[in-house]
Amino acid sequence: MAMGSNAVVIVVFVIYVVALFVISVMSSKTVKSQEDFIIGGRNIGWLGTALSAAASSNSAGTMVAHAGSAFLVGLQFHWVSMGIVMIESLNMYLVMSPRIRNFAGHKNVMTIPDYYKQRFKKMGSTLQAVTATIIVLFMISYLVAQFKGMSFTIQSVMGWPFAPAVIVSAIIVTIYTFAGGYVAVVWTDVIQGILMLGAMILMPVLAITNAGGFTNAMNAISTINPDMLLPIGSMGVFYAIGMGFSALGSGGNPHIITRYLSVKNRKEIRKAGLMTVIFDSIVTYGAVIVGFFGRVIFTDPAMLPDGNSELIYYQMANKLIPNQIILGLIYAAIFAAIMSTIDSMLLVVSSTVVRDFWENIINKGKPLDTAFVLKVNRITVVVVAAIAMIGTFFAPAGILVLSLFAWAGVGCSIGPPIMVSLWYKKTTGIGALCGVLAGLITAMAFQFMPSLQFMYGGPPAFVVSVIVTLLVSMATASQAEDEEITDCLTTVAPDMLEDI
Amino acid sequence: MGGYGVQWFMFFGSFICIWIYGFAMYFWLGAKWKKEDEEKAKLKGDDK
Repeated sequence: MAMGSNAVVIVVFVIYVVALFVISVMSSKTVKSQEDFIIGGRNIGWLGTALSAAASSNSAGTMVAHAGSAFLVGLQFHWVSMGIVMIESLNMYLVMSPRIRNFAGHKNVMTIPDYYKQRFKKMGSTLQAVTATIIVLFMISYLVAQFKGMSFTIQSVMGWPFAPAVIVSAIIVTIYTFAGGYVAVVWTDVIQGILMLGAMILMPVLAITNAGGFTNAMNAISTINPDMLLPIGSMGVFYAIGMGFSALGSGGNPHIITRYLSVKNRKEIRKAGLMTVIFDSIVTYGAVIVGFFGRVIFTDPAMLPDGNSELIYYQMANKLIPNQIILGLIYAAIFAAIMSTIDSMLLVVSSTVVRDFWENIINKGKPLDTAFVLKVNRITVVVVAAIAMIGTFFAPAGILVLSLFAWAGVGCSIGPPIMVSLWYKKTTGIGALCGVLAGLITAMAFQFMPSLQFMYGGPPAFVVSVIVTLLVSMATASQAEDEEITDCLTTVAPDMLEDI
Repeated sequence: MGGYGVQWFMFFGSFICIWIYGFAMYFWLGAKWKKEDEEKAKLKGDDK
C-alpha cells in the first residue's frame, strides 16, 4: 500500500502510541486497590464518563465496519446511527445510569454480575455465575473483532502483514491496560475520543465536498445504485428495524455499563448524557457519511483492496487528505476507536474473572489480599488478550459480523433484566434468570437459524428477554426482594450527594 | 436539496433534531432532580 512507506504518517502514529503509554504509567500511580483498578475508585467526572463510554461503544464496528456497510447498502444502514444516539443517550440520562449508580453506591457494586448478585438475594449467586460466563465468552469474540480492525490499521499505516500487525496491536493495548487499569483506560479513552471527534468532523466534510456537494453526490449515486438512496430499500423493513434498534444491546454490554457504575454524581450524569448525544451523533453519522459519499469516489467495491468494503474509511483518508500529519492523526483516530474498546473489554473480562468468579464464587466473598488481587487482575488482562489474539488468526468472519454477534449475545441477554429490575421493584431472581436465558437463546437462534436471518437478532432478543423477565417475575411475585434492597435504586447514593 | 428531501433529512435534519433532544433532556433532568431534592428537603424539614 502506498501509505506503508510514509515516514511522517508513521512518526505521528508512533507519537500517539507513546502518549498512550505515558498516560498509562501516570495512571498506574493512582491504582492502589481493586476498586481503583476496576472502576477508578468511583470518582470519574462527566468528561471521562461520557467520552470513555462513547469511545468504548464506538469501536472498529463503527469507524471501519459502519462506513463499509453504508458504502455497500447506502441509506438503509443509516438507521443504526440514529438508534445508537437515541438509545445510548437515553440509557445515560434516564433509563439506566441514575438508578444503577445509586444502587452501586449503596451496595459497592463493581461489575454487572456483581449487580445481579446484590440485587437478588434469591438466585443472586446463580445469576452472577451465568452472567459472568456469558460476559467472558462473548467479550472474547468481541475482542477478536477489535484485534482484526486494529491489525487492518497497522497493515495500512506500516504496510505490515497480518500476523505481526495483530501481535503488535495486542501488545500495545495490553501493556497500557495492564499498567494503568480503569483510570488509564478512561483517560486514554478521552484522548482517543477527542481524536475520533476530530476525524469524524473532518472526514465527512471532505467526503461530501469531494463528492461534488450533496445534490451532485445524490445524482451520482442514483446512477451507480439507486437502491442506496432509499431509507428502506432492497434489504427490507426488517433490516431497517434490526439496525435501528441494534443499540438496545448497549444496556447489557458491560464495557459501557461500567461507566454508569463509576460516574461521580448526578450532575456528571447529566453532562455525560449530553456528551453522549454530541459524541455519538458526530461519530456514527460521520462514519455513515464517509462510507455513503465514498461510493461517489470509489464507484465499485472492486476498486478497494481485495474488494473489501471495510477498508473504505482508510482509502478515503488516503485519497482526500494530502497533509501527512493530518493523515497520521486520522489513522491514529481509527486506531483510537478500536483501542478504546479493546482496553475496556480487557478490563471487563479480567474484572469478571477475578471479582466475580474467583473472589465471589470460588472464594465465597471472603476478603483477599489487596496487592495480590491487583496482581491477579493484571495477569488476567494478559491472559485474556493472548486468548483473543490467538482467536484472531482463526476467526473467519468480518469485523461487523463478529461485533454484532457479541453485541446481541451479551447485550440482549444480560441487559434487559437489568433494565426491568431497575424500574420494576417486584422483579424476582428467577424472573431475571429466565430473562437472561430467553434473550441469549433468541439472539443465538437469529444468528444461527437460516429461517430467522431476515433481521438482526438483537432487537427481538431484547423484547423476548423483557417480556419473559416481567411475566416470570409477576408469576413469582412472592419472591420479590424487600424494600431494603429496592430502595437503593431510588435513593441517591451517599457518595454522590452533590449539587445538581 | 434538489428533490432529495428525505435523504437530506436523514443525514442532516435528524442530526439537528437529535441535538435539540439532547439539550432538552439536559435541562429537563436538571430541573426535575432539583425539584425532587427540594421536595425531599422540605419533607425532612416538616418531620422535624
